[in-house]
Amino acid sequence: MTLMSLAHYLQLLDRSWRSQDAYKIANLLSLRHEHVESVNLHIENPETMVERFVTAPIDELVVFHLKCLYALSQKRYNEAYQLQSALTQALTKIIQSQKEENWFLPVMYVVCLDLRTVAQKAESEKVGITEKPGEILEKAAECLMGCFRVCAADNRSSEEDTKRIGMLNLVNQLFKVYFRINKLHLCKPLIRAIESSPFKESFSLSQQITYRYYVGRKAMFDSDYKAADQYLTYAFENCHKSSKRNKRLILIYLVPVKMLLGYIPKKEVLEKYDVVQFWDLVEAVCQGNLKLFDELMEKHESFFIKCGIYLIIDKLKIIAYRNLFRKVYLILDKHQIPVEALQTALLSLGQTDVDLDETQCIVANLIYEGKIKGYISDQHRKVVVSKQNPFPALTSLS
Amino acid sequence: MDTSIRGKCTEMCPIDETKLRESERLLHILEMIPGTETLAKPRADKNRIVKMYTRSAAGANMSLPKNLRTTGALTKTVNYLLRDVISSKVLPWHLVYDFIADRLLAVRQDMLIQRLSPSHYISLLQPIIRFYTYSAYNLCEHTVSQFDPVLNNKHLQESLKRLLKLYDEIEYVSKKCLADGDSNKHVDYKNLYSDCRPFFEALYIIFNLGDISAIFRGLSLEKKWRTEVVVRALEISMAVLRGNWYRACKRIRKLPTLLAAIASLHLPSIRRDALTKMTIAYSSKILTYPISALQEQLLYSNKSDIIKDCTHYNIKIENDAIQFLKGAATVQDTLGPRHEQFVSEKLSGRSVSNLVLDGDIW
Repeated sequence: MTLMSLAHYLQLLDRSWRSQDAYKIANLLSLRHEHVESVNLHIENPETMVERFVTAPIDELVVFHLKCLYALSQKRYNEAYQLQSALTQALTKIIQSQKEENWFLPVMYVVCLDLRTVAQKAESEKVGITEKPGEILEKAAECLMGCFRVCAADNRSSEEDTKRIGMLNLVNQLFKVYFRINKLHLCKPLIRAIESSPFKESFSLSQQITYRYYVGRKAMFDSDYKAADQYLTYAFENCHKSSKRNKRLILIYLVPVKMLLGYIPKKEVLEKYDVVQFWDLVEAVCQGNLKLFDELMEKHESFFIKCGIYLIIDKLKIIAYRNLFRKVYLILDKHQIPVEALQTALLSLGQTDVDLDETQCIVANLIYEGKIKGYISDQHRKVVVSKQNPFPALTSLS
Repeated sequence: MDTSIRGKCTEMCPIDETKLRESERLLHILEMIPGTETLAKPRADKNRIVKMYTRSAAGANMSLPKNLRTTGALTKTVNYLLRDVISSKVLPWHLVYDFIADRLLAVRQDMLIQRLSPSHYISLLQPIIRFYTYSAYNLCEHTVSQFDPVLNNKHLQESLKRLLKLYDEIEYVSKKCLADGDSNKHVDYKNLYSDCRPFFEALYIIFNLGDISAIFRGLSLEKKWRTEVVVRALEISMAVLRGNWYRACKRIRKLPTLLAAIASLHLPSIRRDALTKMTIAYSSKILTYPISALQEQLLYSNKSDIIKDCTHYNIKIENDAIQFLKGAATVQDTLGPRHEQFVSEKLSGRSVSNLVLDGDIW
């Protein structure tokens, strides 16, 4: 196909349009399809040729697409982004005019996907010094929202023909942009739109997985760990086993969430998906080894921050405290544990700046959260733990 | 490249406005020529009258160059307000605040309409933010009719976010300059704001204490910006998130003046959280907790303050000892902030205008 002629390409497109073959059109308008390699298609001013071969309204789409290919071949990414954006807007108009039909949606998916990737490219290659960081992606999101609105507003068509079935694909594109530019609050209305949609269950599985991955991450960010667990578990279990990279991405968030809820991941799983870095962390938390925990926090700091899991990992320290104190309790084999003994344990694990009062503060939090059953006696500097099940299993706590 | 509007007014107040306000008797007492206040028509003091804030309304042209102040005039205005007016003894301070806050809003509006360059924007915004910070603490005990903390916080948050965004932009530009080999410009930008930036990054974290996205911003800063004060701020905010009130308070005590002041506004909720948890963790019918220890831990200025709080939350106190009892404490609204001894100590002997204009020294 590398030597595909312009005329041939245009004929193919026109024929696909007439036969309503959306997948073929999608391919022919995609920036990832092999036709983009053909130098014959890199034309600066394709208008006259396009007019001769292709009927309205998709002639407009083709013109923008070919111009975009040309800009990309010249490495003018900002221009390419502008053209792809114009293409998306032209497409929005077309789908809006197509009443009671949704066969064109596959084209929309491809064009919107390309818009996001071109925007990302333009963003990273930005040269002007007056532009603000994230500006291009923000504009791209607005453009995607235009498409989204058309789909969401299509509530008169019958179930088979409704464009609302295209919403989730766009929502996922928007999630990707919002997570990248750190505007998570903008996800909320999108989530509401999907959750209240009557087609909630009919979206394709792959889209559902992506959706739940992002909603799970958002829930984690909002400290709603139960919900995060639910969404991420669904994503992980349903993600195809050959998509190892995606499974790994999901695990990066699922592992800390699960651990916080008291579940310990198996080493084999971590190894299988190449997230074995977490294994040290699992051990540190289980053993209550705060020294190792602090070291790991420092060692993987930039990784944890980059993934946005730094704070949730930091919360695991509370569980490490619980496990350490449980050990002290088992060693002393008494129901009255001197605070000093706990502090000594902390000291020996590198927590050198923690005094008796702070130790009590940590214990108080554990008791308040139900992770230790008992009470503190300040007068005697002792933690009095319950005779029955003083350290209830974390999974039993709601 | 530059198509934005440029102000032409070189005074703190445009001439038209001066005339209008004089004839309509709309002068603030701090703007009148001394001695003319009691006249039927007080006269405007050219050296003290400052442009008022007006909402942009339909039909009103906000962008007439003769009514917009030049960068020089804006700097003069901010300096006048925060050096001279701020220490005025003519009026109670909350009225002085009202005056300054209104005039600063007009300054911010002029800055926005003209789209000042990041460097000018930053240099004007920094003292304005310190003013909001200082006021938030200083007026925290006033009634809502005298001082509206919500509004002041809104100004503080808006300005602070704007400032951080400008830092990001300028950093982005300066990196580009460096990459293009234009190192002069890079140095220019670097000198301009690098001294103050850590303070404002820390302020953002402390002002939004326990807020995840504020913490994330701090954590994601480049190493060179994560100076001691930012690290401390992060530590405090994360301690609050983890419920470790003991560590949070210990660190808050050591913060530089303005940060300590803004942190102290969070003390009511930190204390409430601590008392709620202690009610469960120290619950006993026999045992008690010494008041003095808790007073120290939770940064209370004196015994009567802690007694007041405990009474508010229905926690029993007898003979200088607190008795925590599960279920006895009832949920109440969090109390309002008050002036704290440890902050007052830091503030005492400091000139307010120096603090606001030049910032903390640490």
